[in-house]
Amino acid sequence: MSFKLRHLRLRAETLSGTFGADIPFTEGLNVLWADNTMGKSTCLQAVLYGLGLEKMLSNRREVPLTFVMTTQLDDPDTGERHNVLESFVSLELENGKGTVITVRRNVKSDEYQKLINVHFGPLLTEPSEHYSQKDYYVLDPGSAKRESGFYKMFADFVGWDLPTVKKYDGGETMLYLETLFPLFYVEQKAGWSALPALFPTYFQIREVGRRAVEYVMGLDTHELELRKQQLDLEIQASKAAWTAKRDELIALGSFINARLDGVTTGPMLSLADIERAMLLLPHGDEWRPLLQEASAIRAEIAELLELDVPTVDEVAPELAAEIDQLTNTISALNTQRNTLFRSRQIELAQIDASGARLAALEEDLKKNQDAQKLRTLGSAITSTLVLDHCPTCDQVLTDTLLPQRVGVAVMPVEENIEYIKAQKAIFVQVQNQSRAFIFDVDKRLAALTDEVGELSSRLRALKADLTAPANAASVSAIHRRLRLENRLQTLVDAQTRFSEGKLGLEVLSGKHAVLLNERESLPSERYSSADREKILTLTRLIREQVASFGFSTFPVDELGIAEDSFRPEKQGFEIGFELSASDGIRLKWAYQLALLELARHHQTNHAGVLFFDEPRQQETKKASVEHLFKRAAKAREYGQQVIFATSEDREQIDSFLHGLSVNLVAFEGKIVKRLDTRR
Amino acid sequence: MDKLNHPLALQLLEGEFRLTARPEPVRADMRMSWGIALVVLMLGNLRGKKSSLQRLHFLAHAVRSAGSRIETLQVFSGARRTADLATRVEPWLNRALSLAAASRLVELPKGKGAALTNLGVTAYTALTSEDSLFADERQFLAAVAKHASESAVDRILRMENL
Repeated sequence: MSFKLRHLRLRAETLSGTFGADIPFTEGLNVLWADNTMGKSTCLQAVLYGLGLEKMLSNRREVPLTFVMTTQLDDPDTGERHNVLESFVSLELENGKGTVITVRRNVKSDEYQKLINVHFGPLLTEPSEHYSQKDYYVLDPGSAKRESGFYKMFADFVGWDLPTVKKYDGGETMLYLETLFPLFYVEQKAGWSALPALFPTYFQIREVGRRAVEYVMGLDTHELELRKQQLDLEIQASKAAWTAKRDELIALGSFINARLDGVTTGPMLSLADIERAMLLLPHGDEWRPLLQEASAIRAEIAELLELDVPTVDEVAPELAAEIDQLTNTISALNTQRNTLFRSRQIELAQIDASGARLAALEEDLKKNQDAQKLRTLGSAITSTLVLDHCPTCDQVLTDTLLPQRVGVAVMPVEENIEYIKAQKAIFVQVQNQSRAFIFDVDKRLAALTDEVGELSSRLRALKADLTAPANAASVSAIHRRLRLENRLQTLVDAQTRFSEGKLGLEVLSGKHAVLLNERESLPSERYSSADREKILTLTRLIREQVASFGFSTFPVDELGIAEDSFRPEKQGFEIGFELSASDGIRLKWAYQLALLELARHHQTNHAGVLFFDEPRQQETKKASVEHLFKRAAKAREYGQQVIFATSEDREQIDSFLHGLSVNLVAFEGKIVKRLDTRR
Repeated sequence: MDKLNHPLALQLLEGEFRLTARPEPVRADMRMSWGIALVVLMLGNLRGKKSSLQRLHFLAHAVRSAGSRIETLQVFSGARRTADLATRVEPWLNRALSLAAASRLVELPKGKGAALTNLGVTAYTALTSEDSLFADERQFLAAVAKHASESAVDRILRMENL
């Protein structure tokens, strides 16, 4: 879970020859020394650029390198100025397993800047033609996830499995490398201004700083959070599956004009409750269970089977009476249908009316939200638009363009918005009720229509009997039996499919219960005991260092780390302006080093490398810097790497580094120098 | 009568008694800030950043609901007759204009028309800098401003053909 920089190479081709620099790096503390404006920052920025991480600094699509690498450079020997024709940056990197790769990215070139060429071997320190190579791309969508994306390759090389995190818009994204690197790389200008670091916000990641620190410290809470997010997704999917199954059953019911009863819109956990669910069929003004209806029909059929099919002669006396009765029943049913249809029309009008009201409320809500936004336009404009007092006579004004009346209070905009939202909720509710009612009425209407149809066809059969020969079998009797058998068959089929559907619901219910149970059993404490241990250690390491660096704004033992933001705090309060500038720098050194040191004794995801571009030593006392170097030099014992770029007085630096095991790379004059001359 | 001697009732009866009106909800287009902002937006969209009061009343009435916005656009496109458009003169607009004048956002030269001041133009820029603010109203005003000349509005109000 780490990497080291072994070698940095810069090259720039000009008409008069090749310019460039080669800088070797070792384990432990590396100090890159050169005077101001000689190219130190170019070197450190080249590391970021070479790794395609320039968007860590800003979202602008520009090369974060100085003109030496992009446009023109001055020959340090002759003072002549040459145009840069082509240039590139190359880095040799080694990971924790000892694998070495060499990356190369063009700065100025006809070729594509978004490509990074990777050689799988130490191409800079041990040149060879036998290393395999491959091109990867950066910056484009997918470069963090696809096989051919550089970030994916680099994360795999370091050993990072980058987690998924929530975005502000509710979507998900990856915790991009650009959000982790500010913890390993302190840039010269803005980098020193924020603690724990200045994180890029344009990825729209929620609480990006906290997520980055959690990941780098390897806290369990991160895993926990991910598991929670995953479970939430699965629970949602499970709910959706339940709704789909329920819709299926409702459709099945519609087929026989039945209503589904006892299945809620969300998953039900009680199997007994699911078992009790049933289809209800309209029966007069009431609803009765499908099974009951089926057994009633079955009894009727059995009764008919007992008897032989009667002849017309036998049934003749009853025929006239039944025709009369049927005609009456049919007309009564038609009256019922009319009544139902009318109440359906009324409900439709109700839906329309509440729809119009909702539209008006929506418009008013939008205007209210505009009125609310007017208060945030900036004080100069807002004070001319939002008037509490008359600008002329200074009388108190109520916020309305209606006549100003004494003693009448106008609802504040915020309350008014809530008020409108509440009204909207009511009208939505009314609409939903009307829809449910219409759904019911449609079922009843369909059932009535079916019944009228059946009775009419029986009426026709009866009339046919009236004109048939006396000894013929009664058509109406046969017709009735057939109709009943048909209906029974349909109901039995529906019931079979309904029972299968219920089994499906029971399976879903079981799965849902398992998911809910798992979410319930996740620990409610945000941090595991291992996490607490790490946070305590981090706090201790920071305190220890700031004490040795000479921190003096307040007693060191009052310094802590906020558990929700990982920002340093003083006795539970965030540290703000009260911190002196030099103590701010000391705290920044301590924090970044402490994250590195934490990785020595705990399992973390730290890169094992730390870059400080100009550690602001001028703003602190010499004693502080001396301690900083001493502390940073310990990195060698643990195979870690710390790289400082500085232009501190050379004698000072030598005295600080005296007796320490350090790789000092010192440049007299410009770092980028002429390498050969073109003839 | 017993109930009136109950300690709680006595406490209520003897306590200090005060009636306070509950704040009334107000339609947002009757809010002072909304109305003043609309005046600024209307003037800002018009040529020369000034207008007669008649034209402001016409636009203010047209802009206020989705229905009237569509009808007005249809009149200008010839899909609807001018006589179909009812315009009302609303007292709230006069109040908004007075307040805007008091805030130095507009000038009312001789009381005949209104024009944006420099401060008014700044306010107009601020109002149009955020896309979501007055989105529907701004879209309508931008579409209608080039057609709604003083003479065109005059003809509409007289129900003559455009």
